Amino acid sequence: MTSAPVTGSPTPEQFRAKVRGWLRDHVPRKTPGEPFLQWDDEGVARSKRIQRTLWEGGIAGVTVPVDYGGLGLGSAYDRVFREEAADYRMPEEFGNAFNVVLPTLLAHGREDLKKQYIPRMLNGEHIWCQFLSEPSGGSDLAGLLTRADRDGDVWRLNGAKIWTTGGNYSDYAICLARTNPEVPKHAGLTMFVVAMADPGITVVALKLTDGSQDFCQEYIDDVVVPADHVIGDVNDGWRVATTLMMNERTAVGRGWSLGGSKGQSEDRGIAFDPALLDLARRTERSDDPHVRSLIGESWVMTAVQEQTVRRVSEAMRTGHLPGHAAALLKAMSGATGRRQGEIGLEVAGSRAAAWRPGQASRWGVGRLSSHGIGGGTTEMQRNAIAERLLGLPREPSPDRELPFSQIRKNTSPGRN
Amino acid sequence: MQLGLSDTQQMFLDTTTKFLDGHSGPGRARELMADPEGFDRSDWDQGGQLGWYAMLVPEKYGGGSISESGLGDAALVAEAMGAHVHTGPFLATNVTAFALAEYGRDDQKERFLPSLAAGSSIGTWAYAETDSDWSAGSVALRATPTDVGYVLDGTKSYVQDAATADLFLVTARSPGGLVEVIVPAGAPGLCVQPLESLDLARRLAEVSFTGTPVGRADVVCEGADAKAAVERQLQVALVLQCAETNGATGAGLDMTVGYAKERVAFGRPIGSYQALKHRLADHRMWLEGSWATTAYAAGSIWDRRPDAAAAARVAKAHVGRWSTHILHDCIQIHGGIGMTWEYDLHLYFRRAIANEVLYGAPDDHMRHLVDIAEEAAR
Repeated sequence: MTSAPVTGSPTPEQFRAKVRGWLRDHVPRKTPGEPFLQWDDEGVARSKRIQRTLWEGGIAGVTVPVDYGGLGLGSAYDRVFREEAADYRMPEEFGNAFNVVLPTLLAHGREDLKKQYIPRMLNGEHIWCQFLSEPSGGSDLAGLLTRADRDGDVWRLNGAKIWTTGGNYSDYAICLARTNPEVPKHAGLTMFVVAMADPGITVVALKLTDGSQDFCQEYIDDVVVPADHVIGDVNDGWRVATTLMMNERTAVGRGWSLGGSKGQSEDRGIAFDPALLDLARRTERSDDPHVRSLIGESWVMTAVQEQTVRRVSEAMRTGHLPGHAAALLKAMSGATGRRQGEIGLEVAGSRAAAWRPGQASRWGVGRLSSHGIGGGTTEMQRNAIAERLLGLPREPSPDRELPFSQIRKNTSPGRN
Repeated sequence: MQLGLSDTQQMFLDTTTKFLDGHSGPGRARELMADPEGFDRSDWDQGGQLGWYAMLVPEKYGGGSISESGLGDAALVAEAMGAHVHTGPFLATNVTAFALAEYGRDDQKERFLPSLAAGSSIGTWAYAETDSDWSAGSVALRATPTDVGYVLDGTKSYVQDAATADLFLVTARSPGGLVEVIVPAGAPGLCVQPLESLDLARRLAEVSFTGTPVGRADVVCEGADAKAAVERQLQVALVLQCAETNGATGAGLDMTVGYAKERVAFGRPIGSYQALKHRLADHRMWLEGSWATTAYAAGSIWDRRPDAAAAARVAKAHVGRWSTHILHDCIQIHGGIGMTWEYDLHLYFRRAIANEVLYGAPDDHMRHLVDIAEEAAR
């Protein structure tokens, strides 16, 4: 996805000066405690405005080829941008667009699709989401049920998608659907570009166990897609999806934030979150050796996780570890999240079950939502580590050889 | 496993690994179990030529290392040794040399360091006592001041390679606080009582002192200096111990992953069953954490960063806990062969178990982190 440098392109230091000046004069700084993503009218409008500003300043799409509206600069310039942007509010709701969809389009998209859609991501017009998981299955992505049938000049899509981040605020979706059920499951998939404005798409926000509502579910009823809105070839969608997932992992390893964050690679030293110790003091248990050991354990997990994120990210960047190593980080966060939830509950005692209205520290909620499911279950991370890093053989299964129509599946993709 | 090694470091590690491949390993460790000294003197001497005991010693005193981080380099060797269940006083000699290099007087450095760095004399640290928690506060061995120095009375335990050591770095308590002294082997009243060791490839002993005299010339540090020295020595020992444990754990996990690929049950390799592969994946994940936290601690301690004390405890708490967890499960995954004496896995497991509790158990270190945080807030 690199292109030849533009004639007369700036030196990294000239570029740094330009980025620094433009951000200082046109982009708001981060405010402490603000959420990373803000999926509401205000948050999305602000991010579209900020992205538009970056575009107008000539600093959007640093590594994207000039033909598609980018700057066509090398990765060194991207690092410069991320360093300079670390203290500014970045349009993180464009994360899927820039981290996942854009590089996938560059790798597999036809020229006209790239020219049509990439500039309108860069100028802040279009937010994108991913239509991958379905209610009938998330881990077994290639077993998806949403189907696309050719009807003259168009495709007609029917089915359902789930776990889309920002589905209710997206303009376009990259959508994997089945175009041939009479071949093994990986061979009958195609990747589409779908307009969210299509009247056949119904978006419903999902509420999670802890009450948060960042994910959506979509019902797809006879959604019409032009025949040329296919990324890659028809029935070659699994290859495109593999690129897409690789882009996602790479972005996670690099740091999902569009601006990078200071301290992500820089070492800030081991810091202890005082919340648990404060809690133990309030409950007059801070002298209890068992409680002290639990608090220490919590701090050890946090510190080791940060150290491991730094190590693995760096190793992925330098090629010492493959992209699949991102699964180590996801699996570790799943394992430690659960234990952190247990420790919080144990130190808080009864206070985790009920509290005065408005109280901030809801320790029981930490236990409630300490599963490692979001972004791919811990079990799937373990498969990736075992099969891709350790080289252990797959479980034998019939679904890789038999035609999709002949294998057992969850039949109801529909409304629940 | 350290990443981002320089070419020189990689060459040093390759040389070390190649030497250990040829001279060490579980088979050699089994032979040495019956040896009166418990390690191979000729290998020890060749280790001196490879620079294994010089890395924490300044060049002026015959030391030097191949990178800016002597402790990082020493951790490379320690990890390679762990992967070979190597025998001998590597950690003991390096920690003793480190203490003298950082806290000894110039004349002491001149007397002791060149021979320690070359491996022509063996040093060991007599620190813990039978039921101590390895904190400085638990040191009870008495140092009674005299006109010419001190007299030592009491018993140290878990002293590595005490029977072959030429000199002991002894941590004792005087009325004025902690004191660290050098006692030569064969000093009056010094008695070495070998212990039976769970780690069959490591010699540990009780060392008792009865009216053992120490002249002023052999007092390394006292009071606040001694307290600081003990903390630094403990940090260095923890990093080398964690690196060694990581080597043992990595070797045991490699054996097990290899076995899970080859061993067939119910018509397919046992490593294809998720019930096993998920466990192996978790082990790989925790081991990655062990590598990360050990490398972090080595850097933090060597550079004397403010979080050095915390980094050492974080590393030990994590490595100590997860390594025994991993190796236990490696034996479990092997099935019947895993529980036999002849199969080498238990040699790694023995080392990891002993290392979990020596130099402080994970729980002790977790609690100590809270002490550190409270002290910092004061």
